[in-house]
Amino acid sequence: MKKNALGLLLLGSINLLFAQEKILSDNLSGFSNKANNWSIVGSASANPFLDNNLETTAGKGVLANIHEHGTYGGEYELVSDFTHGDLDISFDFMIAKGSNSGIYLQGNYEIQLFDSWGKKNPIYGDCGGIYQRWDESKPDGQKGYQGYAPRINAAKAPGLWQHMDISFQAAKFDAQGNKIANAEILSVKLNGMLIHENVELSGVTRGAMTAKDVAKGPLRFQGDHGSLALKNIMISNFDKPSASLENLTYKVSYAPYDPSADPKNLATDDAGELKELSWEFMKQPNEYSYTIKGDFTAPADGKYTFNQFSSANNTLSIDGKEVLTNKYTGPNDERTGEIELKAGKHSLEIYNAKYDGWMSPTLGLFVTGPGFRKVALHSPSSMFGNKASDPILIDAKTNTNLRSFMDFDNGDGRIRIVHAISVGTPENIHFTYDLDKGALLQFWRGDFLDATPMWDSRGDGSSRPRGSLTLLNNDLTLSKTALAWPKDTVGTAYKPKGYTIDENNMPTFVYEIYGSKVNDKIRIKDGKNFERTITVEGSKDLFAKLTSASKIEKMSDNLYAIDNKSWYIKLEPNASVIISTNGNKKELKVAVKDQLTYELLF
Amino acid sequence: MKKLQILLLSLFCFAVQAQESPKEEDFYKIVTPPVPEGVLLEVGGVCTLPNGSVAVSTRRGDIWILENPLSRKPYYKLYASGLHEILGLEYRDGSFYCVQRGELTKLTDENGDGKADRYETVSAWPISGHYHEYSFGPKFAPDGSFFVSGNVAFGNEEWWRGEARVPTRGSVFKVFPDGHREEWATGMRSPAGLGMIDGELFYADNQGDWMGSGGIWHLKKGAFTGHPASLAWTTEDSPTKLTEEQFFAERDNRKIRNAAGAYIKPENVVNETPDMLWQLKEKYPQVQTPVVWLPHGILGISNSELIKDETKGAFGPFSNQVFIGDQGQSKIMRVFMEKVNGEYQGAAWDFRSGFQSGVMRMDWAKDGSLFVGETNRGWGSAGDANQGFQRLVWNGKMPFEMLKVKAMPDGFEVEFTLPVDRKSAEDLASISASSFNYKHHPVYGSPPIFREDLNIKGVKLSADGKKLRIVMDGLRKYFVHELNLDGIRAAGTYYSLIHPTVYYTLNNIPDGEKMSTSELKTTDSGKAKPASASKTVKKLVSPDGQGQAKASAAAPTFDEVKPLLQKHTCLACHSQDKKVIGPAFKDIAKRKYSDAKIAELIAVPQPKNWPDYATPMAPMPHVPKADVMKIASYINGLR
Repeated sequence: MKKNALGLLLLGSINLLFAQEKILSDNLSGFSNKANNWSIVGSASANPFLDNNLETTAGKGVLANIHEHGTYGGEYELVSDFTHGDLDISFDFMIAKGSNSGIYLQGNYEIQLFDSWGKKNPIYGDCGGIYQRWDESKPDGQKGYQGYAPRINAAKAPGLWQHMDISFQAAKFDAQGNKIANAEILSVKLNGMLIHENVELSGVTRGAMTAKDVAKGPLRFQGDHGSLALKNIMISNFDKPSASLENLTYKVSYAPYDPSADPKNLATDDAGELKELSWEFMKQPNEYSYTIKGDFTAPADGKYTFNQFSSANNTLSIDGKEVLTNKYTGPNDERTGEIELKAGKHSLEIYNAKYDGWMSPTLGLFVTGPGFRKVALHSPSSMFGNKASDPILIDAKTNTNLRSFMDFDNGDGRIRIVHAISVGTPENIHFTYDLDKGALLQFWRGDFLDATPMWDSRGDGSSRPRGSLTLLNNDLTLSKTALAWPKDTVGTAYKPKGYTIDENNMPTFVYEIYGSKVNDKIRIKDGKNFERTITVEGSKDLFAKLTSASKIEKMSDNLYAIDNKSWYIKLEPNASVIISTNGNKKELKVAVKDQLTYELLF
Repeated sequence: MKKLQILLLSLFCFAVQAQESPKEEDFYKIVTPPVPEGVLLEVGGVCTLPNGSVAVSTRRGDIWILENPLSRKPYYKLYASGLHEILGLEYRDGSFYCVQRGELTKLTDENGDGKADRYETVSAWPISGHYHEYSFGPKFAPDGSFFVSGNVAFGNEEWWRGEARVPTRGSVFKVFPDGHREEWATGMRSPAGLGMIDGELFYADNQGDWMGSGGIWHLKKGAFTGHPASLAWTTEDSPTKLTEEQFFAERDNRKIRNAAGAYIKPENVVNETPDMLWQLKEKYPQVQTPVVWLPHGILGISNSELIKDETKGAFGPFSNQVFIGDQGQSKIMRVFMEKVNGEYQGAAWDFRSGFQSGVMRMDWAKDGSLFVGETNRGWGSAGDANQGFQRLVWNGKMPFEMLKVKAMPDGFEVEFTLPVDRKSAEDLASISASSFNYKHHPVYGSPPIFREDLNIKGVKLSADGKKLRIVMDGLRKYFVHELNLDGIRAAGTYYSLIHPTVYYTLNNIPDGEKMSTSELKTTDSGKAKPASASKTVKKLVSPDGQGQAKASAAAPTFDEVKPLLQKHTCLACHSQDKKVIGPAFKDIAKRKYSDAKIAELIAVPQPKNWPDYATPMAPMPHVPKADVMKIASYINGLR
């Protein structure tokens, strides 16, 4: 007990210095696990085709749970000694085929980790789901309730590293111990996709440690439903009081615009006190210049991040120092500034001058600081800014093709692919192809496209993927030589010839290169993978570059894991493979006679 | 006394009749076929098929085929989808050809299920990915190749300046069936409308930088039409024999930075000696001045496709004339072209307004009615729907219109569709005329410049009452000659002309004999009238003071200011209560500008004040001070 208290104290003091803390990387101290199924290892891998397979190597950095199916009980779980309230946790995880686990926040609210690879319609029990609550008094079939499915299934294949970010807000209690606010899942992201937002939980989920909500509880990893590995587990506690803003006063000038005058120094037309931070004290929505002053209380020493929304010219100053310098912004433009502050009172000043009638006034000020989450310092009605566009979303209820510009950045800077086509499928896996190069540009799992950038108003001709994206590159797929890969189409006699559409509306791309005619066909395999078949007519012994990646690992005879196990390439058994190095990238190439077939698993 | 009574009586009759003169819609009916829910026809291409169906391509990338399109309930079939903003569609030998942003695509139904299954890239061209880099076409050239045109992009910092970041931008080029491309003509800014007339290519451009107004150009190989962006890519092998150096030796590009190093947007300079496009032509003959200028704000604000009337009379009396659409004003204009000294020139009129959205594309239906494809997304239009597919049908009745206007050595000859009332035609007060031109400068649009009234010396009406020679002084080559035939009436009915104003662009003044004065009628009833022609209306004032005139500072009403608003083309883009192309006068009033400030903003508009409006207003410094103050007073009266 004493030890725990000390641990908590240490944790608290660490948090003052670091917003984030890495846990369970080098050892299991601070956590208990009776069955010893959890351990620290150096690496993990899982064969996506072998049930519950997870192999590890000795070392540090990865948390592994090796658990055979069929034995259940609390002794298999990993539970922290510390307890937490409001908490952010993010981590990488690798699920074994058919495996099932979960993170219980405060020991009581489970976010599911599950092998949901390829599942079309995810439920609360799928990866990223908020598990059901449970009422034993109800008849069978009605015991489970209030589970929340992820918005989309963004889960990857077993054996791949996936990433999850959770923001949790604990239930709140009054001095008598009565619950005054439910716990909330503020957000969950799976593989970069936002799958939950502001989900209020009426109580604990099934398998909770306690029957009722608590103010503080331990972090708990489920360990009795199969094997998995985790790494880079980062937590941030938010258990400190928030900053506040009081004693607000304003002064304002309504003088019309005068290019020769500094709006900051105009004669004051009105001045007074404010109960809340807002622009709404003003008599007119345009032609104004105001300053608002107040006392900002920093609860602790540390870094404070301010986010401000305002219309036209605005600044933010603390103790006379400009955290946000004078800038002209639109009402929906968020500005961010940081400052180191000592605990105590500071003078805060906001300046805003606007002489453009088309913009509505707005004022929003948020602050994030040591040990507390982002809070709004303004009144809610002060930030009813301009309306956002109605989104134009394209779902692929049947196989759907769409030409658009596609912005693409695989680390070498953003480029706009201008002859791109995206192909969406009802299996919820989609890809984009660059018709200028015969290149598979990217693929993703989730929803198909957001066409708002292209079809709202004039549009800019581009659409965006709506899912968990894997970026490849826009190099030519085919080359005459295996090593000196052509930088562009010059000298290759490359000529795009468009595509044909099959009876299921799936395209086969056609082009000419080195005098050969190429058919490039990408189809769904097993309902969850892509299979690509490149056929070369009049073959001239070409080579195909299948990927250029930071890391390529051979997993088995014909299975390769790409980019630190982000996705797999599965070749045919007889493929003649060349793995080469190009700068800091590894490249996987295959000789092509008449035809090449391979699968992309993710 | 008796004579006066008769005159009064006839004036009275004629006034009554004039009010009842039929309008456009009494002859040309807009028919709107039903569209299935969920089908969005933001039309970029229209093409009538040999079997009578019509194909419609959309900015959303679909191609719909409407079977039995003249019925009350056409059948919609999706032929192709997923294409990139298809802004033109043609059909030949069983395949469709369409232009996407970056390529010409041939679409073929190979398996015979009525839907395309081969989407073949005929030719792909480079684009940078700027939103404004639309491509338009194709049109079939007589040699079997395809004409395609490319919009300019705009600068990053100089967001007002059209530029060609890659070849093909700001030009018209030819694509051959084997995929290779050849430059055809340069100097375009926004060449949204291409049209083939008797095997020759014409195109319409939009007002903007280097384009004082919209217009129609005849595009011979190597022609240069005015915007310099495309010259960045012309080479010695280009058919355009004009270099950037040569162009900017004649024209100031006005790339000027302020003290902080930022580029300053060029604005109209009121007191300058302006350059005009025709002056560049005098130096470089390949410079092409328009066949007709379509005065901005009057005959459209964003001209689109043009099409020749080949219906042999099924569409009315205007066989072989040209119709041209306008996106912003949701209407169609009419153009009569003639060749003088080997170059095209001609006359332009309003024809039919009232379409539900911006008119973009047209094609003839089998029955001689006109399919009209519409979209306004991103720009706004007088018709406030975002999209539309409609049909314009002639009802067989003869409209009273000017049929043709031909240039004469000493004026013009106007031919009418119906005989005119001789008395009205032979009265010089029935006619007024002026001419003007536009600046050729890097500023967005141009006010009409060098406007001069023309002195009408006399007229001669043909024996059949259908041709009127108008003889005048001061014809100016290359200038737009505006003729107002407000006073001319149709014989028998005393109807007014449906469109009494014509704009004739006089690229050449024909040689030939001038009319002798003795042949002319020179009666001018206007000169006989007392100077105070304006009516003095006695105001009725009731005993309780109602109806009493307000303080003398009272703002003019809409009806009082309407003639001015029409004259200065304000109503092309503004209405009192409703957002059209520009803000409603009521919304302008809410800005609480002073009258003087409104006057200043009319002369030098500040589009940045109105970012929700897509089309910037052209500077109107030419509006006389008295008029502009009256308009300002009216606007502020709406507060």
